[in-house]
Amino acid sequence: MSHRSHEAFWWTVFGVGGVVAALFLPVMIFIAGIGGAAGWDAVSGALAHGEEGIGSLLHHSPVRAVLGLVMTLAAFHAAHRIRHTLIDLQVPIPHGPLALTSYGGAGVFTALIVVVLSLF
Amino acid sequence: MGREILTQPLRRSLGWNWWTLRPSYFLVFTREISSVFIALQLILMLLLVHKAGQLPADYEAYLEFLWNPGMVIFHSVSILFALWHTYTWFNLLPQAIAIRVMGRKIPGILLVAPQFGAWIIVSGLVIAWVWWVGAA
Repeated sequence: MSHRSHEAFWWTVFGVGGVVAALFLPVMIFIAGIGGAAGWDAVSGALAHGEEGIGSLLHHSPVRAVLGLVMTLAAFHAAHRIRHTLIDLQVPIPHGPLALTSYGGAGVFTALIVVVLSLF
Repeated sequence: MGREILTQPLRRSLGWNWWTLRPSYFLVFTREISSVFIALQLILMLLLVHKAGQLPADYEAYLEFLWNPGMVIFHSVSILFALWHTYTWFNLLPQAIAIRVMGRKIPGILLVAPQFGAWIIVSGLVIAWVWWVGAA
């Protein structure tokens, strides 16, 4: 792939990831980080350990597939944006290693989420 | 030589502090920075799913960490950045594509409104489902 097709590929992933992050991230942060802490029993119950709680959510394979896809695409979106923000801020990191670190980090994150979700 | 210049992208360097030069630049900067909060929240969610497969004590200790007051402040700031990302991303579409019907450009609101509609439906469905599991 030429440099230009590489860029087009990452911009496409960035675009799809941006839509996915826009649709899912606010509600996911709300549920994982705020609902239970605010003492809402239904959220605490859904996130409780075991088959009565989070286990029952994660044992559905379509749920794991959607969760994995959402987290992967959002991770690549964030990686692309962080990379370009660092370039815009003129942080003195060569472009090659910066791209490798950004997309490589998102790749490692994807591998980890696949491994973790496959254990359920 | 002239042809090379014409085919190169126009780049104006504003310096590293470009985001301090105008309020509109600062808003663009906050939009870009939302990705840092999204990345950090994704890592916390990955750890949550990982801990869910561990012993109950490990998982509950992680929930205690996730729901301590300092972290709740962090989640609240993160959710504001995530909502800012949602708002700015949906509003980008009319600038990114121009759809014409019978020679007339479709008003931006007709491209933006369905996205917010989808966002409300997705958020509502996720909350309803989690609520249903938690209340069962």
